[in-house]
Amino acid sequence: MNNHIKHSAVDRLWGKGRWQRAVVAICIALALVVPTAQAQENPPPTLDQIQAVARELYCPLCNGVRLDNCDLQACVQMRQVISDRLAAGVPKEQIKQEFVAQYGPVVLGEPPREGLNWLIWLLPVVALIGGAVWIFMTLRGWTKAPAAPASAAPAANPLAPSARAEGDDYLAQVDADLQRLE
Amino acid sequence: MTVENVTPPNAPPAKTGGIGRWLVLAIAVFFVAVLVYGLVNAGEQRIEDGKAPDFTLTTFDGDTLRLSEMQGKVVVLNFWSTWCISCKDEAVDLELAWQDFKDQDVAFVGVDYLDQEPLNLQWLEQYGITYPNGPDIQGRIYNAYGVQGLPETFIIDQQGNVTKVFIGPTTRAAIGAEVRKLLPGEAG
Amino acid sequence: MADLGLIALVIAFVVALVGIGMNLAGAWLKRPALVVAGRNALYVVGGFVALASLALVLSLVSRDYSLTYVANQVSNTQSLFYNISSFWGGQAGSLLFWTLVLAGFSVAVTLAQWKRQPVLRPYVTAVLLGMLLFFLSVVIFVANPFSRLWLMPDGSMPSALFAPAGAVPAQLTDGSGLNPILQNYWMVIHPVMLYLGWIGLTVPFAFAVAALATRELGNDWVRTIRRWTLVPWMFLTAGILMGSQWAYVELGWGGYWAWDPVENASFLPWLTATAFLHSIMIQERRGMLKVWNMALIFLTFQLTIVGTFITRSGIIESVHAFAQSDIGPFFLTFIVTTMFGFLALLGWRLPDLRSPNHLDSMVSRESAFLFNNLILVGIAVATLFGTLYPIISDALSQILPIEHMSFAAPWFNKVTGPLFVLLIGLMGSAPLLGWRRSSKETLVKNFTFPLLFGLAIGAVGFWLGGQKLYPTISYAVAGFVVGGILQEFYRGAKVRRASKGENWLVALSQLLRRNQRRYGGYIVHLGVVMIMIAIVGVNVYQSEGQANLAQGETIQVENYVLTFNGLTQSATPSYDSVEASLQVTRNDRSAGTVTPAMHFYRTVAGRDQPTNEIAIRMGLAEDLYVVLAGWEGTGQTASFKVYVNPMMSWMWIGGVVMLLGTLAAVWPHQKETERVLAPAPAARGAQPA
Repeated sequence: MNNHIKHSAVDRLWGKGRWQRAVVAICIALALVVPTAQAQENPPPTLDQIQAVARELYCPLCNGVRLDNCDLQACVQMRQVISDRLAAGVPKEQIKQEFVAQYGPVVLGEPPREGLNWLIWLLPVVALIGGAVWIFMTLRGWTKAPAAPASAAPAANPLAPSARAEGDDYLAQVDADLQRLE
Repeated sequence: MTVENVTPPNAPPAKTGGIGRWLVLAIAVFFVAVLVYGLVNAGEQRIEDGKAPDFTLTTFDGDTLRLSEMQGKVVVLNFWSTWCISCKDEAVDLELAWQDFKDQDVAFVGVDYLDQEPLNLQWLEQYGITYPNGPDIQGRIYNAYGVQGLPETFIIDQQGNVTKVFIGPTTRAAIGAEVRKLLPGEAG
Repeated sequence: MADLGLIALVIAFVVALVGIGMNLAGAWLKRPALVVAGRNALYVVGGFVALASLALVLSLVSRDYSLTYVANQVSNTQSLFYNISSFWGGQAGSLLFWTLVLAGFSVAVTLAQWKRQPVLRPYVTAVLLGMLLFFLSVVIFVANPFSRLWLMPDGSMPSALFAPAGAVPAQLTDGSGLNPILQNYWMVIHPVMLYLGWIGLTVPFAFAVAALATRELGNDWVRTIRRWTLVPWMFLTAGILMGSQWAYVELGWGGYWAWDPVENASFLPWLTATAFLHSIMIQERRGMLKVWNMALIFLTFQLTIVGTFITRSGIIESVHAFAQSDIGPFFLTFIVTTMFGFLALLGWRLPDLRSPNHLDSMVSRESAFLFNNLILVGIAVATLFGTLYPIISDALSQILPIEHMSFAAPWFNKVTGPLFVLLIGLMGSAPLLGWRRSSKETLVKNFTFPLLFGLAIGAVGFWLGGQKLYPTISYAVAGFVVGGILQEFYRGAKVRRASKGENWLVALSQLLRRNQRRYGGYIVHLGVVMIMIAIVGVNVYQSEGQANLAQGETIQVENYVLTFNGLTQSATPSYDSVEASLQVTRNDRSAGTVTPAMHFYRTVAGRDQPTNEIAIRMGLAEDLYVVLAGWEGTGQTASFKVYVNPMMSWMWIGGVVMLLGTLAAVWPHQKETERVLAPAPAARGAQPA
């Protein structure tokens, strides 16, 4: 059991605690990435070029950890795959698509914009517009509210003591003074 | 302030009360349902007995394996990956166990979880693994079996039921013992 | 010592139970003596919780490894400071800490408000005791920090309060110690701030429940809870920002916020509390929105509990979450009970909460506040949805063609980013709009300068910032808000100068003193804008470089050139350190050296888990952020990650400004205390006591 890499449980631990042995490996692996990235036709991609792709991908084994910052051995290997694909002349977008095919849309950190997943993108927009319209209608109703409550409101609301506590009369004074000045 | 506690006689009647209340209640119930679902499913989900979920695996050699087509055989289903360090400990044992049983009604299947080429192919070559292996695309088989870490090995009987799960690296002897229990004539 | 703690917990539990009964009975039977006894029960509970906490701290300090919690949190080489902070570093201890903070808030609010709230007080005390009862039950029955380790005949070591059959006490000589990555001052202090925020927000909730129960729904309780909401809100703000600071200086990816479930859990109640702080002003002035404000108080409280549930029950996997535990069912029961209980209470009192809603004009501060509420709650709903999406998608994937997945930063940023820009635009507009209505001429008078200022800043941003759309909009909005705030301060000070003949400095400070809530609020807004500038700066303009350097080789990122000088190794009692030295030149001028390092702690938890000691050179315009990622052999070559983070410091400056603004708004001073107290006797006189 102690040899069993429980990554699902391990991921629940804090921060880097989960990386256990992987961290040791990364120290070596990171150093080795460049020399072993042998290109057949293209010059080997630089670390910056690899990271530029990794920056837009997320580790499928962790939650919300970006691939360029992930120290899991699996992530080190995934960056090696990016390096190999770049060396083979594959463009960034296609590498990302290959990652989605291999590991699922979780690597993009967002749902793909297709099929029912569109709902996830549209729902917040629809909800917000709906809410805005609702508030707008409500407010308009209130501005058109009968005059009776309006005249009753001051009596019902102890506006005077509370507002005075706020120093509203002071502000009124400021405004009045301003008018006098301008 | 006591004035305010009295509902003003000309306050608007409860017109939105009907729909509003039900809407709030519906949202609350939905929310609680999500949390309950989450909590119920948060525990152990590993398939440790009962029907093994069916799956299709395209091997590195291009063959298509389907669990339901292996009925009548004992299936040893191993989950591994090249980034899993303790998977190295059992790789040789798994192949030796396969050599022990390859002439009987036993199938070994290696499921390579979220792994990277060509490292996985090099791995198979390095450890001389001859039983079929294939990539677990998007981790579907892993999720279906509720695997929680690597390596894990499932023993599935001739009727397609899980009889044993090895959590962590296993050995030739341990696999052999479990498989023999299921083979006719070898039990005991 | 541990036994004493356990006994104290049990006594506190019993007394809390009795206290709730006394308060409710006292309120119903109108027996003041019972209510006083109920209050004293709260003090007793507070005392015993403090005693239990002391027992745990002493066990941690004296390294009593017979306790499971101590064995997991403390080690022989760990310093006293981290041994004490282990109190809230793990699951069971942090729940006891939660109980302690809750007891502290409960006692404080009772002491402060007892005389002023004769009608509400039995209910407030009962709700607070109810909360305490819940947390005590969790601490006693599910996650007990006084649980012991036992050695079974078969060699296993279960953790239990009492000896299992055949077991002898386990005799450990060393513990596993706190995870090294948590050994950072920000990490020690930021959970405390979060707890103070979350738990403090229980107080307004208790008052809301009491107001509903007694039908004392006037402005009295609203004024009482103002400070009891603002202060926890301030702690929550500080906690969130300190957590970001920790992520920034410790995790080594040049970022500060990853929309992780744990981060979201701290952010959700902040959003609804912020909405509440604004909309409650409408209720104070206009007597409107009573139901909505009740809903916001309740949501804020509920989200603190839900956040705790999400991060501690294991229902969602997170980088930061506590190890999975059995507290889930307890919390869920509590959530369901409080949710439907409160909804029932609210529904019952709905007729009392109806208020005559009238608005003079659509163009008023009231409507700006309502839209601000919509956006804040919208962001909260989206964040909650995104956080729970792994569960939702898992459930939906059973019936619909939807993949089970979780969201990361891209989804959250895309959905909430535009909302934040809108929100900050509203934040700038609302103070320029008058209460009730704004005439056309006031609009022109108030908006002209801020709009022009915003356009100017936007133009500068467009020109300097590489002609990008999003940052340009963001900077224009930021400029608009700042312009509005400057204008407000300028006008106020001008009036004081004219009428009182004060100089500018005195006029400004008097302005703040005389109207702390309003101008304190502006200062908070200023802090928010600074944070926005930092977020845009880092998210859009961050540059990074990585390289594997041999000694003498250089890496260039933006206008920084770093030359690798070599590695040195050193040791302290608790860790070994490997430190790299890099010579920095900026714009071809020498700028000293930076020394990123890795620490290898010697505890069980720290073995093989080096922590990054990132070298950060902070500056007002940009941070240079250097991470030692690894090395080969004896350090002939080493690999580095280098980030240049523009504007990052403004996040922390903005945070401090927000805190100062909040303090300015809540700071009690002579005049105001008098003013608040003055109407109180009159109000009390009106009570049918």
